[in-house]
Amino acid sequence: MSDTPVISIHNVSFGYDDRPILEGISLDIFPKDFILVIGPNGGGKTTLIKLILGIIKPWQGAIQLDSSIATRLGYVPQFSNFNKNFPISVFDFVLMGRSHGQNYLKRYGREDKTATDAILKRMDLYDLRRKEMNTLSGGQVQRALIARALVSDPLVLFLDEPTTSIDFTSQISLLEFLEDINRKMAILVITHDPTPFAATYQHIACVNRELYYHGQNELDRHTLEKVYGCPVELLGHGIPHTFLHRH
Amino acid sequence: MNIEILKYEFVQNALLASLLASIVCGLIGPFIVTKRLASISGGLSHTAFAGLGMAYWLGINPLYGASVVVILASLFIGYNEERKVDRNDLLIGILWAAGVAVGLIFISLTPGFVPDLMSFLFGNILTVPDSDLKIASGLCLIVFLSVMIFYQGFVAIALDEEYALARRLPVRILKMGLMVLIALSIVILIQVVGIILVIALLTIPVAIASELSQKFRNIMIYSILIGIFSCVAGLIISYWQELPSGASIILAGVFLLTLVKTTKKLSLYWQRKSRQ
Repeated sequence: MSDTPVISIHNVSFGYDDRPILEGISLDIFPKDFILVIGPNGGGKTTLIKLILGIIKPWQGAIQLDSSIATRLGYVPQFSNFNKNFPISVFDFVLMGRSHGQNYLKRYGREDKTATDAILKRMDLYDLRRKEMNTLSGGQVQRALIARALVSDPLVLFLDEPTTSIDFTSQISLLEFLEDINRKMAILVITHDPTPFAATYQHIACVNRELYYHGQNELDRHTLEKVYGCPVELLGHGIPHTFLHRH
Repeated sequence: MNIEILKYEFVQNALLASLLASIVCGLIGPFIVTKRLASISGGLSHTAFAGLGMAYWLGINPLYGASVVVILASLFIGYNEERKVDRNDLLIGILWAAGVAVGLIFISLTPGFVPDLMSFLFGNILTVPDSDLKIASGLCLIVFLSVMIFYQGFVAIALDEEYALARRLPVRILKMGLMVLIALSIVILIQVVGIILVIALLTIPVAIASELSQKFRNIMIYSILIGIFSCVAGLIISYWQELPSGASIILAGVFLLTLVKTTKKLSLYWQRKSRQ
């Protein structure tokens, strides 16, 4: 891991109306980092990545992105977010991941289409590329969302609750997949269930209005109790299925 | 049918107006339908009545008045949606009624008889003057070029606004731009089908096209063709039976929609039956 962060968040606060959601958040994301973001519902996990991605603007504080990185952030939202009313094929949906603020006036080129084909094959969606997005199953939509994020060749990949909507075997292959792409890019995963990631993550960020940041093996019961506001049972790393329980 | 009628200038103008109207329907309608902007469009078109009334009162071309007010209203709605000042459905309802009210007040203040008020409310494609056609052609060109240039951006905000923001697209400008293009389309369509029926021409061809294709680009092209068909069919009915043209055009569209939907249902039914 190199020493200069690709994304540096300093003392950021944000809220809706007058109600603060996040306060005094600071976080550095390094190249090839693997960060888990955990915390109770409504604690501001999704808000945090929306701030980093520029979807919403902070009340105060600074989010610094390396200049090369602004167009190379991959985002896998929880999949209920896109307009299912809009007719679009899997290929075109993934292809749209290629456009960004600096190139969206240009037509897609051969390079964009080749990259899309390649990622569709990798995500096992190539045979479905002509199908409509709204005919896909939950797991297939999830893979299309990941493909759309990856087709932009990101340096940091953000995933919002990627494990909730897929069955267990898909979870295993998703994990292997994330471990594989983590060799090329930093990954930040929001999850309410960190258990499956226990053997993979490098840092963990507990978000509940404030952010508590830890390296591996540093997470202690005291912090978790502060984040969740209740006693939690904490078990060691390396025993993935019993790593962390909310009571 | 007698080809002779094509040599009348008013028929040529009517056909050109139909073509312009169909093009903007096909280009903008699919965005209105997929992004669920139909009620916004309905509200916008009724604000035109305010502009119309003011223009009568001032003694200028009513089309200018309508254009200015509709464009201002579209920017206002776009701004409100961005800032969330008020609930948009509430605002649309108010604009809708207030537009008509302001228009009525100004018309009652204008001395004398307002001649073609009915044609603005319900459209009269057979009386579109040359000067208005020139304006409509210009507006149509603006809509066409904008959609060609910003196509990817408009698709991005119609499909997934949040993702477009995350990809650093100028979402706010694109949304405002789309609202203004809807306003320009409404101005063109008012001449063909009138303020009250505008929303039908923006949505019916798209509804038919969506039955025929699942591809957004094809839906655009089919909507244009279906728009032309409805306009010409309505025009013919209105010419031969001396019926109001706007209403005839809309009903031609509704008839086609019913036909396509029924055929599709029946063919599905037969397919299922033959499989048993």
